[in-house]
This record gives sequence, C-alpha cells and structure tokens, in this order.
Amino acid sequence: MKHLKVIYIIWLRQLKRFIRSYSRIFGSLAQPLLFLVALGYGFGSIYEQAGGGNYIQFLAPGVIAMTVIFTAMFNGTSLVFDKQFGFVKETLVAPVSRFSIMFGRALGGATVATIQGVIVFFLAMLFGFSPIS
Amino acid sequence: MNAIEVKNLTKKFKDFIAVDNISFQVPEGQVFAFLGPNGAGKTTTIKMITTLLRPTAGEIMVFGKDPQKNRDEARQKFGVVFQDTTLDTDLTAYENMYFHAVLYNIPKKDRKPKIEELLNFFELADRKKDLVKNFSGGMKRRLEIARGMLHVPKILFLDEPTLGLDPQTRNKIWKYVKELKQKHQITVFLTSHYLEEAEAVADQVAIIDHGKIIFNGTSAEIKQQTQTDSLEQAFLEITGRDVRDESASSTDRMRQQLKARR
Repeated sequence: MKHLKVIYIIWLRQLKRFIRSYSRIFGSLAQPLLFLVALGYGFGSIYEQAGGGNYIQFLAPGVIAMTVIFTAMFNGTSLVFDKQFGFVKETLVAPVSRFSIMFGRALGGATVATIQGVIVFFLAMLFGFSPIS
Repeated sequence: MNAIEVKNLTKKFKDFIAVDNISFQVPEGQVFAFLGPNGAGKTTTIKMITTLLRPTAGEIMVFGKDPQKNRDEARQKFGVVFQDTTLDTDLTAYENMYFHAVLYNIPKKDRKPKIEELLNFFELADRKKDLVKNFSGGMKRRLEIARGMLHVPKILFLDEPTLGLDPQTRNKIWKYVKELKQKHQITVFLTSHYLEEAEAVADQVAIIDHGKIIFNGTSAEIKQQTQTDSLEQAFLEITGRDVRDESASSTDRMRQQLKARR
C-alpha cells in the first residue's frame, strides 16, 4: 500500500512538471509537425505517382511512434538532470524502496509519452490521416 | 543515550581517503557542529550516516542500530538538509512539502495541517502556492528546513544551512533551529563555515581536516586548549591558514553551466 502511494506521488510529480512546461509540450510537437508537413506534402505526390497510395496514411503511424520514443527518452534523461540538481537525493534519503522510485518515474515518463503520442495522433488526423481504413 | 555513534569510520574513493578512521558520539538532544575546511570530509560523513554512501570500514550506530541494516527505519528518523538545494523548482512550496509527506508516510489527514503549521512557522505561508523557482535563496533554504522537519525527525542534519544567505536570514534560521530543538527535543548535526554561528548554537564541536578528526569537545575547551578568544581563531590555529585547493569536479562545472543558462 505504501509503495503504491509513493509510486503515485512520483508519477504525479512527473505529470505536473509536464503540464507546467508549455514550451516543452509545444517544442516537442515541432518535430512531428515538420515531418508531417515537409515530408507529408513533399514526398506525398511522388509516393502516390509511384503507386504507393496515400502517403500520410503510411507516414503518420511512424511519426506518432517516434514522438512516443523521443518523449520517453527525454523523460529518462531528466533523471540525470534531477541528479545534478539534487532532487534525487530527496527521494534517496526518504524511507522508500529504490524500486518504487524507479517505477514511479518510469510510469510517469510512460504516461507523458503516451499523452504526447495522442496529441500527435490528432494532429496527424488534421493532416488527413484516418486510422480507420 | 547517544543519537549517533561513529566508530573508526573510513571512506575511500579509489586511492583517495575522504574520511580516515574517525570516531565520535552525538548525545541525544544536543546540537553537534561538525566543522572543517572545504573538502575535509564533512559531507561524505553525513552521506554515510544518512545511508547515501556505504562506509568502506567502521561502524555507525543511530540510536543503537546500524542504519545500513534497517535503512528505512533509520531514514524515517532523519531530516536532511543538503548543501545544495534538493527542492523541485517546478513544483510549488506546498507541493514540495506534500511530496515529502507522502514519501515519509504521514497519514493523509495530518498532511495538510502539518504542512500549514510548518509553513507558518517558517513564514512562508503566503507564498505556498508559488513555484519554488521564483523563490529567493533564503526562502528556498527555509522551505528546505521546513520540509526536513515535516515528519518530525529525531535527528536533523544541516549541511551548511546558512551558506550564501544574508545576515537577516542566517539569524532567522538559527533562531528556528533553536526553537525546533527545544520544541521537539531533536538532535541537530550541522556543518558550517560561519564559526561564530556554530559557536553560538552548538553544544559540542568537532573539527575535521583531511578526513581526520583533530578536535572534539565544547567550544570553550577548544579555545582553552589553543589559548584563543574565538572559535574562528582556534579553528585557524588548528587547521592552519593554507587555502584549500579544491578542484571543481565535472559535476560542479555542469551545474554552473546550467545555472548560467537559466
């Protein structure tokens, strides 16, 4: 029970940090947006002429997956920053298991990455991606 | 009973001996000042007592128990304020406190009143909803000590709590520490470079240099022994007047760069 509480509060912290960093949310949307616009419209016509069908349909799942990977990676590396700035020490001197600290962080990172993925998913739909064929 | 008892404690980092066979006792309810020049091994000792580092050799007892054997039980008894801030600057003061309350298993119904009480005590109540990144150095320090006291520890570790603060805040912090000590009968283990302050607040003093304890007693004793008028003179007498060369580690450099960028 105690482990769950600790995992929850660490997860919540990751989420709060994510929601508060508008610049990071929009910044991390720039790359998928660039791929969708530049590659989507740029290569789209060639792809269709070559008989490949709708290029956005092909491109969007990859861009979404890539967003999830990068966001997750960024959340992983944020541990290094926390370590440099000392916040990790606060959790390390606390009477909690190291496992719940790691698990809470991983869960937080996963949630944040999923949210970003969903945002890009809807963004892709704006560009004509339809998940139901 | 001794709150902390250290016997022949040694810590080696590869070939470098940071703490060299030190022994001391801190009786319960006392303020113990652990003094020494930069790089003497103060922080390393604190890290070993608070289970962040494993000793290479020697024995640590906290209320008669080895903290390494039953870590969570020992950790629950500690309130630690580190040299550099360990607050999450993207959370508010209240959220930082709440996070701590959950980590230290404070029952849900007690969390809010306790946090409010401490924030009031440290005069931070009106800023509790502000993000910590907008706080001044003194406010951060106060918040950090407030957080360290939240779970009513038996031993409060203060690693240079007044470093880089103005005289007003420094005085206030020592006032808080004295009040807290009287109110909760806690043991305080502190390090500081402000020797006047240490002298005013400490019951017992130990001076460490190059990893070895070279003096352990009251500040009156040390002054008598060195025939000096103040602890600062006695300190200089004992540790010498050379300036310590402490090369900045890669960590320090990275921190500085990041701070400059913010």
